[in-house]
Amino acid sequence: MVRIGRDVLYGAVMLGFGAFLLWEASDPKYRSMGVGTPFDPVFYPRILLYIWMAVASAVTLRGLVRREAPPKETHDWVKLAVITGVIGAYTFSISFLGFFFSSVLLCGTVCLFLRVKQPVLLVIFSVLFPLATWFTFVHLLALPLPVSPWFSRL
Amino acid sequence: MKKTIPALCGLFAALTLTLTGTSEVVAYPEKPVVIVVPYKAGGNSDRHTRLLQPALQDALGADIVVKNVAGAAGTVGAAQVAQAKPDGHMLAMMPIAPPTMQPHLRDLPYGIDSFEPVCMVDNNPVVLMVNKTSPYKSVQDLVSAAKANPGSLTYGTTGGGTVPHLAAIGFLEGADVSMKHVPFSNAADVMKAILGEVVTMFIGPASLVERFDVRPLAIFASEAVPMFADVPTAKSEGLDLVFSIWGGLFAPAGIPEETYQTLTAACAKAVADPRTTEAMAKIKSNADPRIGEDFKSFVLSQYELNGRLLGKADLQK
Amino acid sequence: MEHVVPALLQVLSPASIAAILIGTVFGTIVGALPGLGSVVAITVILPFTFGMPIVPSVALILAVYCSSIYGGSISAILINTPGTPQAAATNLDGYPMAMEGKASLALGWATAASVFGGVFSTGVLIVAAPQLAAVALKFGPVETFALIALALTCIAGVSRGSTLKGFAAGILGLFLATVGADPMTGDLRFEFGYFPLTAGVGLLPVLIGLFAISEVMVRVFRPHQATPQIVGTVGFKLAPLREWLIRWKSLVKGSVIGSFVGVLPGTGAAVAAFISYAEAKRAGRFRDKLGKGEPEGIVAAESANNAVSGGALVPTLALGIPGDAVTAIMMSALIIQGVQPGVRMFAENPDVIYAAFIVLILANLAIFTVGALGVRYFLYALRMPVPLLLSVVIVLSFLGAYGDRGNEFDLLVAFIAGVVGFFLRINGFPTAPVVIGLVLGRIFEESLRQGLILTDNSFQGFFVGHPIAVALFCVTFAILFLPPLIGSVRRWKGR
Repeated sequence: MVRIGRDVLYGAVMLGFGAFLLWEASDPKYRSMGVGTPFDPVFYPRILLYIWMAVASAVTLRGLVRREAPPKETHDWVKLAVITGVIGAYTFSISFLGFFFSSVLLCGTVCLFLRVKQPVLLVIFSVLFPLATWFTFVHLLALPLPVSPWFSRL
Repeated sequence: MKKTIPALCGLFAALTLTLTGTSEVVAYPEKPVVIVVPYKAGGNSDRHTRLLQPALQDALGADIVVKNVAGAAGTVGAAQVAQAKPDGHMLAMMPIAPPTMQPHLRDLPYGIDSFEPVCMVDNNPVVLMVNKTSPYKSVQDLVSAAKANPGSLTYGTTGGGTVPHLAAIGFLEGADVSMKHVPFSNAADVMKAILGEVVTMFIGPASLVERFDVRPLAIFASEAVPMFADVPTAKSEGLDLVFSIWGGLFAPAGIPEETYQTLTAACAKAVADPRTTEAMAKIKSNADPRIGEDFKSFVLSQYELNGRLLGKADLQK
Repeated sequence: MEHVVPALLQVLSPASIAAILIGTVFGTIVGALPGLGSVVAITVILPFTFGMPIVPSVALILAVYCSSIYGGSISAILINTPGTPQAAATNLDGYPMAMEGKASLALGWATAASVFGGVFSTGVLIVAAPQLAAVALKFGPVETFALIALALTCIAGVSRGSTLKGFAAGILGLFLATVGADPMTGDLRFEFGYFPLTAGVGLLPVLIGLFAISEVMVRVFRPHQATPQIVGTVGFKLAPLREWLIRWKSLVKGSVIGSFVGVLPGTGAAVAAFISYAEAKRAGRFRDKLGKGEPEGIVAAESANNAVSGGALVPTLALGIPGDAVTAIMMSALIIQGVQPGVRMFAENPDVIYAAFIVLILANLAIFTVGALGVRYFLYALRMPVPLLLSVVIVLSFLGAYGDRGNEFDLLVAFIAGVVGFFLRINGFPTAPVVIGLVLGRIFEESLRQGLILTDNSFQGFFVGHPIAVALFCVTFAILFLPPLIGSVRRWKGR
């Protein structure tokens, strides 16, 4: 099996994105914009994207020429996928459950998943820390945070 | 048992009310009122909101929380309020552009009818200004210089489709001259360009004149403004142009009539409060209170006028 | 001189001293929390200043300003998540030092360098504010474009490992800055019909994602990766004077760079720190060790970012043009107090100006005291069990991303930036250049387009009649092309 260098993969992804963005920049809708100034809004982004494509090609080519062995490390892809999923879910739940409840869920899940062994610590931390943060922001700093549909301020 | 059933009914009613969002029975305000400022802290709208805050808080009898929701020329914050529950607990402090100009410029998740104008706070006419060391001492100097060398003079704006841009287009058309347009992203940058003699003129908020020590040539108001009594109006210079930047409080459309009345009454009290008027005098902002229906018809007329002007300038979407 | 004594008396009043102390403690803490930068810190205290007399309110604001920049370095060193964009450069050497068990020493370097940079730039502000303000005005669009081009070369300096990968990351940052409404015409681009994107990609959410959230992911991904060592209980240790003396050049250079970058509106402390770091990497005494936990990197970054505080006040006070977002809010506070910052301020309110000078010096001394006494409490963060610490980082990060603009879309931006940052990091792409590109992108584009309008669409026009710009372009070319050229000449000679 031929191992493709990771740099080649990254370079290819960059090339793909760059091509997509260049295609978007060539959309005729942009040509009618920028009335009253000599440039349309994609004048500068296009220059950037040409440089982007050049750099991406260079990364890809160098990856093809110089095949470096990936560094030897212990990786945990499963754990990574789970924690990414948890953070992603947190991102969306803030809008629905409000800051406090989703933070309680997040702290609880992360601590359970990373094996916090004392259940008392886990519960106290998961409730007290979000509560303290919420109190600091909403009451001491007067910065409003997203609220849950059940309470007017929490 | 006798007591539980009515209690349960009450609870059920309360639940239904909270779920459906009709708050006619619930007293307003029942919790802190959030005023969204669709710009970053430190800007003009932010300043006006915060100086209105103490008086409005007292008049309304509730805490007021100022929330800065910045981005995309104020449309992000405006959209947030337009989509908020119309119970009077989420309001917006907006200047002219987000409600009356941006909807003409592009597709937005809100329109002029998404808001219920509550009251206007400030209204500042724009002023044509040039560098103090420049040879232009009057509008006539500027116009004749522009006629002598077409295209050599420049004007700065705070971006395409803004009040300074519209005013400049109106001015150039009225005087029948042409200048190069150099857009900037905020007023401070334009002022730096004026002071550094990168651009020739700027038609912007009058409050900038004193702060940056520039030379005002004309004020775009229908009659002389007391705070700038020595600046001639554009009309007296032969150009019948009126442009101003105003700001006021808006509620989401669909707000219950009772709540709306409470709000307008509180705001009327707050803008007349000496704390507010003194603070506005300090920041050299021209107070122009318009309450309720008065403000509503003003906003609608501005919406139509700006649509026409943007269309004429070929900027409408 | 006749204004100094009354100003001193006002500053030495109990109210002002209390304001400085409270402001310093508050600013340090807020700055240290990931994601909550100087802007949040100042916005929060702004309402309190309305009811205060002018000098104490200026004292409070300035103390919060200086200390919040410093505070960002604490979390950068201890948990590899810069509390503010300004501290992203401190991260590069601060965290490796903490891994070696020298966290308290690193904090000592950061604190002292911050104070030095802050005091130095205050000196510059006192001596040369009007003259520097005049220089700032000479920077029209063409000069600004040249300066930003020069600043972008520091990407090469902060790219550990591969310069090419650094440029790739830098381009990504520059491009992200163009998403949303075009600042000059208001037209939308690359928003793909999705309304939240019209507000553009915020700097703070991206920074938080790239540094803090990706750090959480990396820690889980590499379970056996070393975590910072905790040695002893001392929270703050100053290196011996000898160690300082051999690094004096980077300290002074950082302070000069920071003061100067601060004077030019629109760039800011993050850029100053990166430029200074890149300079230390290019010419510093320990340049080969930079990025591996060398104090010189901390010194260069911290002296520069704190020196911006004095520099940024030059255009704010002398011209009424804010040097960065923080000074913009500060200016607003002054205007509400009835003081108009601007050309007339030196003549009309000299007492306020002199009071501000004295406050700046005192605030920097207060940073040292607070740092020396209080930093040990931050070290407790390292003793927290890892899962708890990671939860804290995630929650505070998202708070910072949300609090910046009060926009729920920014939460998503932070999350995506975290995932992208993770994949960049595990393959040796540096993430700091993304931040540099994003910070500088907007002003780079604006100055290019404005310059082209002024020169009637000819880029050659940038080189005619703009001596400052030409000089800056020459330096840029020298930095980009001289080192590889000299290198290849040496190799050729060596054959």
